[in-house]
Amino acid sequence: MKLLKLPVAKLKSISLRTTLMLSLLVTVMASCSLVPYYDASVIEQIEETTATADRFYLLMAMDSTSEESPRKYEAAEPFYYDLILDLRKVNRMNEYRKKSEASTKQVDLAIGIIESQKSIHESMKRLDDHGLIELHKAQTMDALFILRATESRLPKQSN
Amino acid sequence: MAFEIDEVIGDMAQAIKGSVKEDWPDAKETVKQFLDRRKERMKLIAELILKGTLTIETAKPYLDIEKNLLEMEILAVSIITKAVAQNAATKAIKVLVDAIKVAIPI
Repeated sequence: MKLLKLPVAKLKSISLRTTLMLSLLVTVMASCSLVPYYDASVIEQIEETTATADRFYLLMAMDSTSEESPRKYEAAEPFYYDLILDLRKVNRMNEYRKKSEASTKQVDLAIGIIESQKSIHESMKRLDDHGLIELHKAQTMDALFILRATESRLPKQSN
Repeated sequence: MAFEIDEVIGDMAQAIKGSVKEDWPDAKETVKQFLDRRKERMKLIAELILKGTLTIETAKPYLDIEKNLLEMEILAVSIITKAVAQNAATKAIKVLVDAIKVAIPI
């Protein structure tokens, strides 16, 4: 016990304590992540959904007369389901990520937007007005843009 | 080698400052893009009402979608801000770990 009172022993003890405290601090700070890490496969899935939406609205804007034109609700319905299923895939990816609650909520809101557009289209039976097509397109594409912009700003995991 | 805590804390503060300075313009640009796109959509809805394509009643579902989009944007800003903070914390931790490694070679 007397040895501990010696200045050298005291110094060694403080150094060990400081080291232990810093190690603890580093461990706590490193484990305290606020958001999920960036995931390239999530971006890829969002890009794929954006391509589906782009094709859908391009066909809708161009093709107005044929029976298969997505201006007609029956022809558009599979596109709405594709978009919803694609977004669900993003949320399945989110399930495996830590701190992804806010990202999951964002995707749920995007799915809600597609569902609302689907029911508007269903009640109208046909979507022929160019301005309305433009509005549907802008709201869908911007929802996907928000998802992509958020994901691309997430921290990159360094090994 | 000695472990100069004041120096390390100073370096950590610099790392945080540098990281936030680096990430912040990108975050600000994203918010600006959200606002620009929102402005375009609002203009489109207003034009459709003025043209008579939409009435106040039929515009309501589109305004509800706008509410969802706004919530998505707010969540995005919150996530991006936290990402900026997390990047800064990671860089500060790196400074601390490097200083410990130098002081206590393992």
